[in-house]
Amino acid sequence: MKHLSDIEIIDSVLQGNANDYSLLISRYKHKAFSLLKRMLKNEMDAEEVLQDCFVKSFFALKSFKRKAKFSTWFYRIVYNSAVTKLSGKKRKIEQEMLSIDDEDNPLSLSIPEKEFSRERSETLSLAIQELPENYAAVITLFYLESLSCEEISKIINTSVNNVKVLLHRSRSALKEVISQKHLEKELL
Amino acid sequence: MKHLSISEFNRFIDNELPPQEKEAAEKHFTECNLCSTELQNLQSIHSLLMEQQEEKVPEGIETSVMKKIARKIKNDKSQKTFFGFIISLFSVGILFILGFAAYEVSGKVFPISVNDKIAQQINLTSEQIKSFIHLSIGEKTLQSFEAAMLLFFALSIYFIIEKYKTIRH
Repeated sequence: MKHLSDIEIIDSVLQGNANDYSLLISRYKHKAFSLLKRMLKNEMDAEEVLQDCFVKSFFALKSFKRKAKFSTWFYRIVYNSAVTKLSGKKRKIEQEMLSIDDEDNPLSLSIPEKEFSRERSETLSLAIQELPENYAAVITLFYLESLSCEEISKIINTSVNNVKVLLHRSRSALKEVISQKHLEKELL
Repeated sequence: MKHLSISEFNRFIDNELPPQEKEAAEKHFTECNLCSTELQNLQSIHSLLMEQQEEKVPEGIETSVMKKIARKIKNDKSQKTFFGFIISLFSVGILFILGFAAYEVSGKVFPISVNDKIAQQINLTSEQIKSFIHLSIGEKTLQSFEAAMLLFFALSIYFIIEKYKTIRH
């Protein structure tokens, strides 16, 4: 059952086997969570939005046109949900409060888990979370989800050239963050 | 050759430079320490990003999502039933109001008609029906029933608006 393709699972769900949907959840939960956590910069928000995304996509499966891959369609839901969440008033207030708190040492203060985990990947993840949301999204989708610039352009609703520009800028921005936080030795 | 721009560095890393430009850039890197160091920095960022691992979502998300889906399906079903009930009551309310309107104007349906005989006959029949209803039920009962129907009609509209708001939300 675990070797079924996304489309086969969707067909099964649409035929009434709703429980098969958990296979899709298992398949995309970590990657989608990575994208959300990096965009929202908050683990609890990311988990909450992720659950909503899975629920939303379950009820929208009927409208899924099989022209694009399920992953592209699903990441578009995830990306749009993150943007919506970020545009919320509450989020703005929280971010303003965090930005005041973070002035001394953003990496260690914004993510308490840093104290407990000094692994390289964790540090990189924290550095990516320092980037603007669209940079974090493009970097995650390109490198972690291994999506092409064309697929990313469909997800974030922009041109392929713009994705390339965003990718270039996000790499430079990440380099800046690493340099500012003196993480070169740890990461590079 | 001039120093490479940020865009050119990135295009070099992504292997997007045309062969001639790529060759020139490679040659430039052997001659320019500044650009060579910058390239190494960007390449190490690129390699670092290639190595990154996905974040682990807390355990049990499948169960939570499936529970939410089940709850939503149940809610949707009960909402549909409730909505159907309200629509039915709304339709009955409208029918009653139309009935009362017809009752009120009965006897005056054809004050002017091209065929006086038919008009008189219809008006007479309407008057007889009205008198029958009036005698058997009573005017006060009828009026209070009519008021109740109007109230019910207004309530139905309120429920429909509230329902529409919930659906939009």
